[in-house]
Amino acid sequence: MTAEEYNDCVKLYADGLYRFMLKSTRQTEDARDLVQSSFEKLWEHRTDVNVLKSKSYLFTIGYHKMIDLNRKNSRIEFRETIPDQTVQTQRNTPRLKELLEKALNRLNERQRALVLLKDYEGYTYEEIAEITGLNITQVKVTLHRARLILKEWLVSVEHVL
Amino acid sequence: MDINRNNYETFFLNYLDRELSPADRQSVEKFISENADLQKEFLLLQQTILSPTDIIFEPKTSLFREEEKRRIIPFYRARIAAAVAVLILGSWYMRTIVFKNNVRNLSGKVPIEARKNNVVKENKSPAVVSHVIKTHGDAKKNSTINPVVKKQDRSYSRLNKEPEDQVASKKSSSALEIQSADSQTGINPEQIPTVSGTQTQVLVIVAKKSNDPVQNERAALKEQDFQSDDAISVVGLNDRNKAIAGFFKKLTKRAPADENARKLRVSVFQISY
Repeated sequence: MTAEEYNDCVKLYADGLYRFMLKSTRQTEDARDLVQSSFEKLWEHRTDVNVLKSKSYLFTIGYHKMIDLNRKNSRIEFRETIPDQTVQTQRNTPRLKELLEKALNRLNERQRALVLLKDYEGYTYEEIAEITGLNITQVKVTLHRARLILKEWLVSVEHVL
Repeated sequence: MDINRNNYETFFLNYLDRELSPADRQSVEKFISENADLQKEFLLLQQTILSPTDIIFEPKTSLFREEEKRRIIPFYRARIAAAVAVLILGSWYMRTIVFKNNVRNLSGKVPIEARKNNVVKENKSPAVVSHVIKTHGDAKKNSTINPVVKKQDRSYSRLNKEPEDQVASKKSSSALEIQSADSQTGINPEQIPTVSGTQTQVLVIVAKKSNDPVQNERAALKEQDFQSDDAISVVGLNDRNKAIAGFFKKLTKRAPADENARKLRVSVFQISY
């Protein structure tokens, strides 16, 4: 990968990687640091990375860095215990998109990451398995469980609304 | 496996994740249309799909990189530079060699190459006959003096081992004396001349200061008007003609005040026997 191709990767994938990191960590500074460090590693290994695999390489690095960061800070457990007061305060503006953003808080770290990779980046089960290091069955089961959790939460919110 | 009311949820999720083949997608769509009570559940699952959001990574410019610029010299330029360097070094080396040879010639010393040639020729005819010729007169008068001749079998290669300090002591001589290789301590190896021709043998004649007052008195070579700064001579022995031919070379100066007024004087002589 040349420097020009690396810069093309920045243009094409920086926003998507940042979105993935921001939705996963919900911390702007953490997300920026993860994006920076991911592209830093891509630059260091640019000679070994195929251009066609650069996006999955970036997301693989970002995913594992995010997992490490979350485990280090133990933020996941804290966020999952956040009460749904935010939902209640926004009753008058119940938009589905915002509800789903909130619903992501009910997912664990792996479920959320897989949903983000599937919905935002459009990766297949096989590609997600390569990025996360899981097998295809684990990806499929994890994603389906995440969908059902989101669906149940949406149903419960509808009842409240 | 076909979709039914027991496994429809998995088919719905695979459908929403775009993991079904076109045929399976059609079967799922057909199943939904035929089972209206499951349409709401399908719609609820469809609502769990996240829609793209416009999130931009602002400090994107900080991620851009450039290769470190390295100045690459074209190969032909490197070759030209190497050729020029070789020419410069070669010309400098040749000038140095020529300058040294000129200095040695002016001071009566023989170039290194000449000495090497002499040694090589000595190796071809190692049994060299040297002669002792003592003279106390003028160079011109020397031609009338019958020399005393001795034979000896020493190789001239030994002469080259004489130290330089002994040579320096002979450069201030006021009289010329022809000596054989028997008195090698008085022989300057750098004064061994180049000899041309394989038939010619060489005698070494060095300037030597003599303490004998009689010899000094008879030293006709001592010129009154010139101070001898250095003197060497070359003698070629021709066995065919029974004669010794050679020349004396002196680098002189007229007065101490006139240091630069050096003059090279050469006298040619021939002695028949």
